[in-house]
Amino acid sequence: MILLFDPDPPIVRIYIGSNNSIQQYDCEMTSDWAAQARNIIGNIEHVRGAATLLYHGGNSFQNSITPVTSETFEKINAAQKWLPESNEWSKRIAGEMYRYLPGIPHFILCESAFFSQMPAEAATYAIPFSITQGGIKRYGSSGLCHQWAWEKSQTALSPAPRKVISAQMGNKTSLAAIKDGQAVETTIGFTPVEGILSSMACGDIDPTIIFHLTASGAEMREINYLLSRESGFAALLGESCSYRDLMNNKDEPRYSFIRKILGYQMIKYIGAFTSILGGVDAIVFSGDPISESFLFIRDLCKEMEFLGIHLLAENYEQSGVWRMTEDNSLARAIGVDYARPQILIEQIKQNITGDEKK
Amino acid sequence: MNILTFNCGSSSLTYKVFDSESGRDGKAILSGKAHRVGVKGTQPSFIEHRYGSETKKDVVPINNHREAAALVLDYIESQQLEIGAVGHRFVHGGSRFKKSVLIQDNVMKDLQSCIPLAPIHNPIAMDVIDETIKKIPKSAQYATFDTAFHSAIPDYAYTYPLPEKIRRMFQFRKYGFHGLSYSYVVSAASKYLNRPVGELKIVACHLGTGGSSVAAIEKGKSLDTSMGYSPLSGLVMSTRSGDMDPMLTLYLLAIYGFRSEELEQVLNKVSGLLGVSETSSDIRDLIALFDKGDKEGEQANLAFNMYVHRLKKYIGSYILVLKGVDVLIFTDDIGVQNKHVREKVCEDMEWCGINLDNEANQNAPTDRIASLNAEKSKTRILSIPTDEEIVIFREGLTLLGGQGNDSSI
Repeated sequence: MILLFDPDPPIVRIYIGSNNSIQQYDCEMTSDWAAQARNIIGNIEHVRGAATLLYHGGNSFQNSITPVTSETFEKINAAQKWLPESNEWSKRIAGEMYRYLPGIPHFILCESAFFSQMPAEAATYAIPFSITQGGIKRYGSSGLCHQWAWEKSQTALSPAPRKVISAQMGNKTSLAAIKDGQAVETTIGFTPVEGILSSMACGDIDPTIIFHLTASGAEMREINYLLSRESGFAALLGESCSYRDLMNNKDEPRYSFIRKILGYQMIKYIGAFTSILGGVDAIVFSGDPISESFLFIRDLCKEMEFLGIHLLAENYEQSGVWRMTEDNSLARAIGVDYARPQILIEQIKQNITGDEKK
Repeated sequence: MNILTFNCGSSSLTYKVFDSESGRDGKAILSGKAHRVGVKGTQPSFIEHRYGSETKKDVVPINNHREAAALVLDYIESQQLEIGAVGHRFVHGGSRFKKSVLIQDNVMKDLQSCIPLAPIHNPIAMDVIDETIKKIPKSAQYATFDTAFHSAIPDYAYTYPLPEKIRRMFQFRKYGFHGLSYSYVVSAASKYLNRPVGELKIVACHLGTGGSSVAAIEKGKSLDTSMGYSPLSGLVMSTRSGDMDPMLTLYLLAIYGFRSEELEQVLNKVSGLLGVSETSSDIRDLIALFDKGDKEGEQANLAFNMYVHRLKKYIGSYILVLKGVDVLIFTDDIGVQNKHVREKVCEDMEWCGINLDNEANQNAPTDRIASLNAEKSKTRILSIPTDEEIVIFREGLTLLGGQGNDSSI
């Protein structure tokens, strides 16, 4: 049995993976959360390992998956200020479980670690050094997915690609440029609002817009709410809109305009990342499930024939990977299902086995 | 009649005097440029005047654009030249100005209302207009706007995903800038390559000592550009941050405690190359520091690398937007003069058919159009000294009547 804890204010999501099934439970982020969690876990005899997600590792985490030791909590503390509420819960959960379940391996799964070694020219904001030296930089996120996508590209494609762009499709679409396993660029910056528009957030906008909003008398929390909750797909549609809505309403013009913007922003980033990588060998599209994005991705790829993408007449599946391009395509494209809890639990299992081998 | 054109860069003031009798391709009889206006660098500011075959260079402190304009007008007076009209480049015309306009009292008010739209350029243009009216009140004055060239950008590229009500209230959308320069280099490239504008896919990099931008241009029309609602977004510039996470801006206001106007100043005036390097806003100063192995050299390197990195990203974006690129253009001061920038930007760009000829790049002249690509390069690479003044001059001819109705600029 493997335990996976995902702090998602105001709840702590608990996944219990055993043999081939995964159960999901929610407990409230209250002072008695640990009692709730103990109830959910029940008999601890069969627990082989536990992991807690950490959404912001600051500069403390270089690896996406890190075994918990007594020093881990200090490291989370150091990253505390960048994502106070969520990180505080990661620390509490990991600490509680570390004490409650001694003798089994514990892990931190860090969403920003994959980008921690991004080259300085990609990670630094062009604002005064006196401000950035306090730790403000482009941290990136969704690193667990992008790193997994890179690993997939290495096993699924022959010859293995060296210059890869990973695109995680969903309510918050993000892309990463990866060269020889090392992330060199990503769309997400200091916060996940930067980059591509999402279901509720604006993505990249001119910074001057914020100054005009403040000058009109808007308060900080109002602007925060506006840009992170009332923008994106929702603002363009005039009502709440998920990525799934966008993919499912193929023929309605007001949805196709949003898809056009989403696709256009992705094309711009793919071009930008190709330029940074000095070319692109493969694009890995991931989604949950990726099949809901197939039509959208095909349209996107048709716009990018210049990169040497040659689509197959139809995608086909081969050992869990959707092939989208001809074998001789200069840039290859594949689609993979990123079922997050399943994949994370599988990765935890592999790490436990790895530990036991040592 | 003589027409004087004034063109404010954020740290320069270029001027030219044309004889309107010389026609639309008119040759300037007098020209010059004030350099490093208001710059805190390691080298002094100076002004150059070229009159006939003579060049005069004065190394003098030039603290702001008003002083620079006064130096120009004094020099013109000392040469006993009569000025009939003065054309001013005005960066951001908002939605009020979609074409050039004669400046009369009612227009002044509208121009003033555009000041906040471009907090660096618009105020200095206003200062220059003001100084000119004071010194030569009898001359006609007109303004030419930089936003018009980008009017064909499609809605999916100019729309910010904010609620419609907010977008409408503030007129938030991508406008784009450096339009005069882009229209000049596009027609110059077409003429040089002897290929019609209609069949060219162009990525043009306007790299100024103040502001910089990139544009994707197809059939002579802008499809996208790196500056947005204001000239603050896009590339890393001399003192401007370019793109940044909107939440970071909010974070700096809420947690760091900046006042809004204060942060706007920081992002416009002490960020970019100056902010990262902490040494100079002039990229030449930074290149000179490369070999210093200390912290100063390290920061200068980082600032330079960031400048190139961001530019490469935009070039890649626009090549994919255009589905290919026939011509890559470098223009304005840094674009034409800085071989280091061009060399780094063109490195590892074979994927899109860009191959720089190193020798041509090293020896490129700065006073005329030059071809910089290797023979095998699918993409032509051109360095083109821009001429926004001729565009301003032509607009003046049209506005003041007389010179026909050819509106192509």
